[in-house]
Amino acid sequence: MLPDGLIFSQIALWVVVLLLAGMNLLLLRQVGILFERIAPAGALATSKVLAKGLELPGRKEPSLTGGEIVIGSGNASGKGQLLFFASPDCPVCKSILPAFRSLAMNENSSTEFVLASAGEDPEEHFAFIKNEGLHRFPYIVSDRLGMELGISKLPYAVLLDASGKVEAFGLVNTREHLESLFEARERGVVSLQQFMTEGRRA
Amino acid sequence: MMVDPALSLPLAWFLGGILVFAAMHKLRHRAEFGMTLEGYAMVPRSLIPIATVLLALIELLAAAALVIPTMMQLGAAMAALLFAAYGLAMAAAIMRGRAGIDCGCTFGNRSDPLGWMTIVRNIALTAAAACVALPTSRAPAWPDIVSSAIAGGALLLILHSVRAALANRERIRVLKGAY
Repeated sequence: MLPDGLIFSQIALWVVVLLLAGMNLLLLRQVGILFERIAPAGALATSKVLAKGLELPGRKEPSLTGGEIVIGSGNASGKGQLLFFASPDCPVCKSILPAFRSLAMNENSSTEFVLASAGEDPEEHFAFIKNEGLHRFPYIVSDRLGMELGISKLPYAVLLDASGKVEAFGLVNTREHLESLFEARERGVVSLQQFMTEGRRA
Repeated sequence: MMVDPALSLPLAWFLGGILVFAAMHKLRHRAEFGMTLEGYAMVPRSLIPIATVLLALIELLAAAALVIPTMMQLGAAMAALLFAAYGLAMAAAIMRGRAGIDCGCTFGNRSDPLGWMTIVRNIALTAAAACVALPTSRAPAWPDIVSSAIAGGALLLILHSVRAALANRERIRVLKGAY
């Protein structure tokens, strides 16, 4: 029979091994959480109405910056459209506008950038256009459009292809979110979140 | 052939722990496991809910027997049969061209696709259970039992660590693809 001391030290050793194994698991879990955090942040695609491939029936809307514009299928430009839902009384929208403008420069050849807003007072919208320098973009005001597309939070963006079909959409709180819509289009997914979860399953 | 309890006892606790986790997962996510069973297409659809509960009960029974010293061998034999049966079911599913269905062998939330690696894992589990089913060369003393229980727990934690590491590897792969 082993001396008592050895027995206890043996048990103590196992306890230490157990603690180490537990620590190890904890560390690996934390590494996993870190990976989730550094994953590219995409626009949050929340809508009960919108879905990838859904065709938006064409509709003609007057633009506050002049003329009329056709949204959805049947737009004559032959380009895709980015509908950016913003409103003068939403501070986050204003912070995204620089990103919106620079993206509009880069993606000008493939996509028409459209601002969609809602609200009664036209003066407010004209002031918004003037202060933010949005003269170059079609600016429509329609309460119905946002409601029909199930958009409940601003700023929201919907990317359509040339035939008016939804390619990507989501809540866009940062420049990365807005850019992620184009990234999602390139990858054929509706949002980067979907890309991340599907990539994990594949 | 005889085995020293210093080897078989920790393995018994380890296997018992795996079985308890597996059973809990089946009972808690019955609908999910039902879909997994459906993927195997071996149980008639009407019997799937009963089969799920039955499998979980057998697993719990085997686990309980494994940690009772006098019934350890019996529990180990049950566990070995269970693991072997699961392995055969997986092999049959792969042969019928069903590789890639959810294998149902991870008790985490991530679903594991069925492949030959999952079968290798089941062979290892079956071998471990068979090892515990062999008669022991001496009666275990109390220090054996105490350190075995802790060692079995440590083994379980290490198993979960390996899972976590594999999940992280998957995350790295996805991230590389995203950029």
